[in-house]
Amino acid sequence: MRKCSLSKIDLLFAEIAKTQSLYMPIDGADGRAVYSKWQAGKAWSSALNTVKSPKNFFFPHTEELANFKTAGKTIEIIDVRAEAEDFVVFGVRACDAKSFDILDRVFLTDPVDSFYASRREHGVIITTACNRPTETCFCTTFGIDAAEPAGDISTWKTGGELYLKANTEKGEALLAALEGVTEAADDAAVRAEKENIRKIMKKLPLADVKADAFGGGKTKQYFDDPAWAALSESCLGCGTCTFVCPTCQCYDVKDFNTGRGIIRFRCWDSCMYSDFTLMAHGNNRNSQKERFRQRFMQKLVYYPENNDGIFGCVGCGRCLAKCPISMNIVKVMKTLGGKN
Amino acid sequence: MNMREETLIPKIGVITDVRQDTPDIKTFRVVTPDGKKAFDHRPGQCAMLSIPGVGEAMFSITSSPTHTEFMEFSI
Amino acid sequence: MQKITRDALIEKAAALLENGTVSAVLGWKRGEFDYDVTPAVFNSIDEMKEGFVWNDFCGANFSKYLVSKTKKAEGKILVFLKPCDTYSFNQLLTEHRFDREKVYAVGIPCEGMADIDKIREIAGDGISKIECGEKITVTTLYADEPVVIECEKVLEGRCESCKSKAHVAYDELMGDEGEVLDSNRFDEVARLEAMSAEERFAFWQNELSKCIRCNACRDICPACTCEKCVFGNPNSGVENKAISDSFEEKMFHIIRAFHVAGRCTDCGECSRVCPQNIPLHLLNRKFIKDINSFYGEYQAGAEVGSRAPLVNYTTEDLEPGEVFAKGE
Repeated sequence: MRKCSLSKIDLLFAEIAKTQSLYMPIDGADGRAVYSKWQAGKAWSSALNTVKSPKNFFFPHTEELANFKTAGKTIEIIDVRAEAEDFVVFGVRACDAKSFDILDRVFLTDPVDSFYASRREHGVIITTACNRPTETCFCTTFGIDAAEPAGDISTWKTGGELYLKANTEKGEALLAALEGVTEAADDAAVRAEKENIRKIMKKLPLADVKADAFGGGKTKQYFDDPAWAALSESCLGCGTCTFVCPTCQCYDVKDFNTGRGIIRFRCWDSCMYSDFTLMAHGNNRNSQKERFRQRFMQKLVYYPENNDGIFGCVGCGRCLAKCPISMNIVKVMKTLGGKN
Repeated sequence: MNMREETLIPKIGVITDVRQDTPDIKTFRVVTPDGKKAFDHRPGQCAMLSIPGVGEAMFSITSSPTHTEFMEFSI
Repeated sequence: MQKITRDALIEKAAALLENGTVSAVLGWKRGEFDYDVTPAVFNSIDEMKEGFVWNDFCGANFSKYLVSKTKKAEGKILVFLKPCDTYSFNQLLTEHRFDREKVYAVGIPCEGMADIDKIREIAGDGISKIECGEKITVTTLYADEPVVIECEKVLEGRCESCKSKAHVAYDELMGDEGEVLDSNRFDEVARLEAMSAEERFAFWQNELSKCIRCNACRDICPACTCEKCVFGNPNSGVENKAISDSFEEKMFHIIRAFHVAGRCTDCGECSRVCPQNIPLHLLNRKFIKDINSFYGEYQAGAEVGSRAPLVNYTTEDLEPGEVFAKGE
């Protein structure tokens, strides 16, 4: 365990930033935290979390896949991939850290997505425990411990100090490079803070939300539940939930003609959209009820079925805070699972 | 990194034959630029075909896997 | 702090359900916390007693839901409309977007809705309870004592510059007739107009760069009811889910503002739902201010069938050259 005084944290950041880009939640002009590149003079935000999740570092909103040049009947494919540069994402919460595992299972299993893989290899994740979880948090429902976030290095803010612990080789290497700006520490204060956090988690209003009623093998049980109609009634199909969600991973592939060539890119897509997976014959889900059902079945049933029981939700609470009509996965779970 | 196989980047296919099967279905025979079958496949599998600038879409491979020289798409 | 009570609304709905005037009610449904209210259809008095909520977090405007609900409904649907909602109601009727025969509109008074973000800024995180009475009392996990806040301090932005307490559409009105107010809703627009072009560009650049193209603003907007949106049409040239560049992001909002110009009733829903808190209503208000000065004062939705200036030619219309000159 190492530690660094919070009053000297800029030295720590500066040391990291010497050799690679450092990103962390920083308050924007409107006072809200956004993952931004750190520079001297910028302060690590004290906000609990950002609106847009850090999945953007590995699976960006928009990404160029390849370029094409056509001349008459010939096509030239230009591989525009470049090795990602080393970078560090600091201040990731336990929920978001878990989301990387969920995305890894999708992008890093055969066939490996080289775009995602390159970024994952070059990214070092430094997580931080949540001293003050809020009412929309329910990471414990999915077995995530806000007091013990994963990542290459885990950190805890307590008693004016930032404590750091490496969990992986990458983490150890980075921590070793930071020896000059950190001191050795024992973990007494950290253990106390963990207890504190776990106590708060138990008092949160959503602490008793359970995922036991869901999981693989339950498609038939929930697919035709009449409750879906009422749940999806006021869903706008806007896609906000998808875009703020740290685990949503669907994307659309499109071509854009610049006039001088063609760019093939991918961008985030949402299963809530009416043209999602549009096919020649039309669409397979023609009502908002079906699309709504799809999104939640994916997270609560289909994903765990294909991924050793791991759920596709990390309880970050962003959909609770951001849905324009206040619908969210907790309401779905309580309505459907409450019957069992 | 650029050596790594990437399934999202398409490969070039050359259309060597176009057959009008019905008034609205054509069958295209496709091979690699050096004249081989693009990849082995099993019955029922599909391929993403793209036209730069238009986009890509999924089409069933309609030729039999036992044909080792080419692949056909009836569209 | 609303003058009319939840019980009064349920009583009204119960009476109308019982005597068969309506077969369903469009209202606000209780969520997990006191502030996450969802628009829902209630089919019985029991459902209403169980889940209907009326408090300072009922900002949702139901007018747009009538477009889809009246298509399928067999009986009439009761809808509670706050003053600002009634303007959208009329505007949608003017555009023939829903079947008036299938709706029983009850106008209800509104003292303004609260903004949960503003409450959080004052009371902090970990909210466990919010009581909306004369004042707003917030209990959180981290404060020993509940925090008491004046309602005026945490009003939604659009409620701070409320333009009217008058209901311009209803089958029945609960409470007294309200009045159109002399609001200050163009003050912020004037402030932006007074900036230099560079400053104004920087302001919008900063705000619109936060856009994540979630389309919440478009999907909640009562003026945006196109069955197939131009941004979802691959042949339009502006179809995109990608955040390709800052120009693209600004274009989405400017195009949308133009599309609703003259039909936007200034209900403020767009800004309320934006997950990135972009003050989109300022763009629409600028358009309204301009339309007012170019073509005379016009409030969309004030009456059914009124012709919006942009679709109505009169010989007094401003010449295009003059419009351009004013913009410089």
